[in-house]
Formats: sequence, C-alpha cells, structure tokens
Amino acid sequence: MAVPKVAVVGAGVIGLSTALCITETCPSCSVTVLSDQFSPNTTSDVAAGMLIPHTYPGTPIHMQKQWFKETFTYLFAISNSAEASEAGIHLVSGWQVFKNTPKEELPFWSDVVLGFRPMSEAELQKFPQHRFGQAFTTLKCDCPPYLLWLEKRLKAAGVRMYTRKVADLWELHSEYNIVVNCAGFGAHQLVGDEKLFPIRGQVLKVHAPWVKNFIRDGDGLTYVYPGIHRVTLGGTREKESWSLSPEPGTTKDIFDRCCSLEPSLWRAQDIKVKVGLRPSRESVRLQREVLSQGGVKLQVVHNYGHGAGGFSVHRGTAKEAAQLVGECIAALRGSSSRAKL
Amino acid sequence: MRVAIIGAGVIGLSTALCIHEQYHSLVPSLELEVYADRYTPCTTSDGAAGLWQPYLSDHGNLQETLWNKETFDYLLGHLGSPAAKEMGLFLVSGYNLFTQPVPEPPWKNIVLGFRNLTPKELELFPGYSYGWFNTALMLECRSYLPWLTNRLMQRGVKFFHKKVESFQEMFAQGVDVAINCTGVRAGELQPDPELQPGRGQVIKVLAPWVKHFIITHDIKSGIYNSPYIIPGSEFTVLGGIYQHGNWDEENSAQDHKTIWENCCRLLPALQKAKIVEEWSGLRPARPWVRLERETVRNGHFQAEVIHNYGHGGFGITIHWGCAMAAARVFGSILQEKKLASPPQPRL
Repeated sequence: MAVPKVAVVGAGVIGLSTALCITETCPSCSVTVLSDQFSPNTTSDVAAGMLIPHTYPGTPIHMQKQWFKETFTYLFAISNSAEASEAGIHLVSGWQVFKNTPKEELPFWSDVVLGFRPMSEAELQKFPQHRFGQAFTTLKCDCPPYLLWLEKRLKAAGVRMYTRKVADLWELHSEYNIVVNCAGFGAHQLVGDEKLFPIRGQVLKVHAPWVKNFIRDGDGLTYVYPGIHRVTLGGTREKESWSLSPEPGTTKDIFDRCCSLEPSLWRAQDIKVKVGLRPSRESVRLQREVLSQGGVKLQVVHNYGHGAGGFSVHRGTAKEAAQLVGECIAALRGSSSRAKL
Repeated sequence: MRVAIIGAGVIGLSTALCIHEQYHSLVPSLELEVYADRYTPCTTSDGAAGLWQPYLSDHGNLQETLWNKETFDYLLGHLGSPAAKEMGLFLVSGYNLFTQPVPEPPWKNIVLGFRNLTPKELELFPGYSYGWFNTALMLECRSYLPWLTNRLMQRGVKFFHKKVESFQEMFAQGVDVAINCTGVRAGELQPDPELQPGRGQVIKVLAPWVKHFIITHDIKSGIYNSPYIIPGSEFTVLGGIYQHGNWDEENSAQDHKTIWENCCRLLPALQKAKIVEEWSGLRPARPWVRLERETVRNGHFQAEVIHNYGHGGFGITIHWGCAMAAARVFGSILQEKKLASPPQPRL
C-alpha cells in the first residue's frame, strides 16, 4: 500500500476539518471527500458557529476541554491573520445570562475563552429578567465562509471532493483503504447508530448590523449571535423531530424571545429562517472500527455525534480522527499479506 | 422670547432639543431657531465614528467627567427604546491598548464591565503590553443628527441655512438669546486663542467582521495620534491622526498611508477590507469646554450669549451633559427676566 487511500464521508465542518487534518498528518495519503451535501446545504451551514462548548454527558470533561482548547487556539490564530475575513473567523464579546444562578459557577471552558468573568451589577441591569451573568470574549466561525475556506485549502492540498450519497460504508471498500465516517446525522442510516438522535434547531438569520455583542440565555434556548453579515437568532431544541421545514409559530416565538433579550432587534430586517438537525449523542463517537464481511476487512474511523457542539470541538476531534487514521495505516502496513492498493 | 442656536452639529442640535424640551411649556412665547452654514451630513460631528469615550485624563476637569457620565447614562437609558436604531445608538465592546501600564481613567466606572486585559488577550496585539477592555456606546451622527433634526422640526423649531457673521447680526434681528455652538469656527464670531483645530483624518472601510473597537495609545504622540479601529453599523472607521493647529480639511495622502499601514498592522484582516470613503475634519480643541453665559450690552440694549463649544475629540461623548448645562444657564436667564418660575429640578 504505497499511497493510503482515505475516503471521508461528510462535508460539514467535521468532514472537511477532518480531511484537512489528515492531509496535515499524513501528507502521503490520498484523501477524497464524499458527501451528498456540500455548503451551503449542510447542517453546519445552519449553525451560528459560536465557540461555546456543549457538554457531552458521556465524554470525560478533560477530553472535551482538550478538544475545545485545540479548536480555540487554531481559530484564534486564523482570526489574527490576513485570512480571517475569508475564513469567516472573528472575535466576538458578550454575555451569558441566567434567570437562576447556575449550578456550576465556572464552566469547564471558562479559562479557554478570553476575559471570562461574572457580569457587574451595571451590566445585569440591561437584563431585568436575569439575576446572574458571565461576560467573555470568544470566536465565531461564520458558515458558509468557513466551509468554503476549508474546501479551498483541501483543493490546494490535492483533495478531491465529490457529490455522492454513500448508502453503505462497504460500497467504498474496493476504492479506499480507510473510510472516515463524518456523516453527522447521516450516520443514523449509514451505520445504524441507534444512539444518535436528532435535536431539531430552528434559527433566524437577520440583518441587524448594529448588534455587536452576543447574548445567550444560560438555558441555551435563546441566543443572539452577531456574524459577519447576519445575526443568528435562536433557537429550539426539539428532540425526536425530524422536520427540516421552518415552523412559522416557532419563528415568532424565537423572535419574541430574542427581542426580550435585545430590544433593538425589533428593527431587524430581512428575516431568513433555517432549520438543522443536530446530530446528537451522549458522547461523540470518535473511535476506530474494523468492519469485517466475508473475510474482507474495512478500516473505519468514526467521527460523528457532535450534537450542539460541532464547531466548538471540530479541530480537536479532527486531529484525533487523523491520529486514528494514522493507526489504521500502521495496521494495514503491519498486515502486509493483506496489503491493498 | 427668540432663541437662536448657531451651529447644527451634535452640540447645536442637542442643546436646541434640551432647551425646547425643558422650557417650551413654561414659556409660551419661546421661539427656537437654528442657524448654520453646514448641516448633516457635512458637519464635523458627521465624520466622527461616534464612539463614546473621553480622553484618558480629565486634567482635573471634574465637571467634564460629570457631563460625560450624564451623557452615557442618558444614552444607556435610550438603548432599549424603539428610537435607538433611528438614533444610531448601540452598544459596542473593545480594547484600549498601551505600551506601558497607565493609571485608570476617570470614566472607568461610567462604562460597563471595565477591566484590564489578560495576557492571552494581549497576544492579539503584539507591541502592546497593557490595556483595558470595556463595553461602551456608539452614537452615529449620520443617524443621530437627522433624528435630532426630526424631533426639533416636530416641535416647530425653524431651521435656516445661513452663515452667521456676528452675534450683533442676530440681536439686530430681534433674537434675545444666542447659543454659540459653532465648534471649531467659534473664533470667527469672537476671537478665542484657546480654540485650535485638532485635525483628524479617517478611512471608512467595509469590514463587517470587526466587532470590537481597538484604540491604541502612544503617550508620547498624544491622543488620537495612534491607530484606532471603530466598527460602525455599516462601515468600520480607521483613524489615528491628530494635528494641532492644522486647518486643512483636505485629505492627505501621507495621512492615508499612515492610517492604513498602522491599522493593517494592528488588525491584519483589514488588508482585505474594501475602502469606501476618506474624510478629514477639525476637532474643536480647547483646554476645557467653554460653557458659559456672556451678557452683551450696547447702551440699554442687553442680550445674552450662551457659549457651548470647544469639545475637541469628545463632543459626542459629552454632548448631553453640556446641553443640560446650557439649558440650566438658559433657565437662569429666564428667571432673571421673570419669564419662568424657578428651574425644574434635575431629573
């Protein structure tokens, strides 16, 4: 196996960043991205892309923190470079406010973001329904610019990208040595993962360029995230709903909730409604698997199930997935009698 | 009682509104008129980015710090109102950067969330070793001045496009009180060697990914002679020029180069920003704001001038406090003329 052939299934933020990491750790690999959807039609394109981690109940906190830290550091460097606007990465400051004091005063990521501190009394006056708050500065990854920038870097690294619906990983075994499963919500069908469930999110993307700070209710349901051209207003967390169609009643509800956090939003214009299904799981599935069928083996690396936290940990999980790909290559080279070209 | 406000920048229009709001119901004969040769968008105020931020020190002028606070609190109170967008008013957070530790500013408790920068934050700004973070307000005059104008017109205030050559000219027409909000050209109405232009130049760019203001300071060069970046609702303003005594309102290619290179060094992402406009203006600089009454006598003819000019690079920052102070001076004039009962208590 002179040139390991790697297929990455999925072209959302996880698929593209994983493909990029693989080219970085394994320059001799041939990497191909296969997906039925590319930007602007991926789940990632709906997300605001705020670096505020979601906590996975099933993953050790130190690992989540490591993933977040790596992602933050990586994006921080881009935001500080001439590429920032093209990549869609920018710093944004704001507040997370709570109606009731949260159980943990300091989230695990408080020392990764910048300038984290409790809000002052004067700052809280802006939020009369909330009694406690945290102020900090974090990063935002605007989609689609970020995905398009990743695609550009992939092309420059010689990665090919094809629109193709992969119905079964075994379809790929004759063309590829290693398959990396970044199918996000698609993993439900692709590998039959019953632990993966949708959490439907509806958001509004509005024109309100005077909003420069983010505001998030600590319950995670209501948020105002200013992006480069639009402000994302959210949201919903509807379990077991598979509908990708916008609900007008929900739109009004989101708008009302966000306006009560930021009254100036009443003047927002050109409201666009989007829906995404968060590929949710108790823990991110980030592991190797060797599939076996009729004496044939297929090396698989899974990297899916990031739910509400995809952007926050994408680079960290991509790097780990790339390391697992490295292990697959070592395994393949080790079993030389089974070497595939 | 005819009152003429001379000057239609942020100082003139806000003073006019403040006086009308407080006295029109107490003085039925009150007639307010605004005279100016330049209206929005051609005033000095229009060119300013609109960030509320005083200078680093008030040089013992506690009065000015109080007026700054009054303005901030007044604007903060309007943030949640439906008028905010029309006023061009919104919150913005950002950074003040220094090459060495400096004392905290007198406005640290006026703004929201004032704190020192952490080492990680300073990594963003090579060459700067100390700084502050806070949340302040933006008041964009290309929205605020039209908003003030509309409020004034609704109240029946009349506007005249005219260059006033002297206070006498006003009084000869029957004006009882002239309010001098002529900014940098106040010296043309009455010589004032303390008043000097503080020339500034700015480049307006499209850089909507910039969400914070970044103001650098070079203690040696003085205020605003060090690059700054201020994100507006539509454009981002790049600046960093302060030339004392320079009356030239033309854009300078050298200043353009200075601003552009310094700001791009500060924020490399700006290299990809599209330049939309360039503008120069003259800050009406004075060691302290001239806000006082002057009685002009000519035989048994007596008229009053209220001066309200010399706000330098902090006109927007201080405007409402000064407008209220000017209104109080007006109130005492009315009291003397027995045209009004004692002034209303300060709200």
